[in-house]
Amino acid sequence: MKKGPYKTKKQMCMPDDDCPDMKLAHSYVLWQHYDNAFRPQEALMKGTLFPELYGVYTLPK
Amino acid sequence: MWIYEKALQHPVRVSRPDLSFAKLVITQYGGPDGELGASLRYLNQRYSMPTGQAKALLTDIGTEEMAHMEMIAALVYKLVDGASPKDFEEAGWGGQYAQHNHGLFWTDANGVPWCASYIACLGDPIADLTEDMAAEQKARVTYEHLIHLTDDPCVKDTLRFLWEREVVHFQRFGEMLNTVQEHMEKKNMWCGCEVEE
Amino acid sequence: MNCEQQMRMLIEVQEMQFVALELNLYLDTHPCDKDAINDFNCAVEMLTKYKQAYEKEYGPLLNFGIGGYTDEAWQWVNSPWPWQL
Repeated sequence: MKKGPYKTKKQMCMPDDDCPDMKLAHSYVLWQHYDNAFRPQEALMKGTLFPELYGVYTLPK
Repeated sequence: MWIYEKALQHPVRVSRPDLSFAKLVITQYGGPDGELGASLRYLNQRYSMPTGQAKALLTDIGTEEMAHMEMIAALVYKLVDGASPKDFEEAGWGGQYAQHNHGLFWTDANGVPWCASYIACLGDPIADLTEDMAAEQKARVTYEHLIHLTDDPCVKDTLRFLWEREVVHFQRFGEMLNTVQEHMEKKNMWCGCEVEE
Repeated sequence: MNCEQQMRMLIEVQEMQFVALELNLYLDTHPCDKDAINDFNCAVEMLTKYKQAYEKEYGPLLNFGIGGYTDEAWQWVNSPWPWQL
């Protein structure tokens, strides 16, 4: 029987099967870790203090 | 208890009045994915959240959404500044003038009034936080649509600020969902029991 | 009334208020982050200074007694209001 179009574990980005904290049918986001901050002027202009939260979605023009 | 701070969260400027665009951007005042709905959704859901952290986050983001609603109001106020009744008619917004003059009201871009059916509160933290995340995505997308619908760079700046806030809120609600799910797992919430902190 | 100066002083308040708000939301989901706590307190220190400077020139930002004592004149009712600036 032909198997489905499964990719190898290397190619797919998904949690390891033995990850203890995640469960099927639950959704999660990656935890943000505060390392850097924009200057206040840049933060207000951009809409966030955190460089890692800016550009995660394509900026609308 | 709420206190009002007499300043916008972010400056709101327009290059020129634009009634046609005011008619569109009003959807973020009183439409299905707008700031009024966001604010009321979060401020209402907070009462049935299981942890202090969740109550705090929903209170804080709900309050920030009120500030965003004020920014949209300021935007519409400036976009209709000096407009005559004829200007409203020519922009296809004669009904707005007839019912509200230069006043604001909560409708979507097609004049449909705000409705409590836009929001929900199931009293289940997973369902409610998941709804909140969906709401932030819908708001983000709506701001993208609105940014595409205007050429005014000042207006785009204001809307891009609000767009980015939706991204940040999505992250925060997601983190809170992570935490609440872990909390409920520890407290065996599967039985739906009330939880102590 | 010097509008340019008011906008300049207001933006300083808005910028620092925004930093405090962002850290506040971050701390709601990361309540143990010491760096964020320190930066929040720094932001509050700056924000307090900027607010006091602004209010001295342009009147109170807060009502219901949260903003402190009032002068002889009840300035809360003064214009311009935020959507008019």
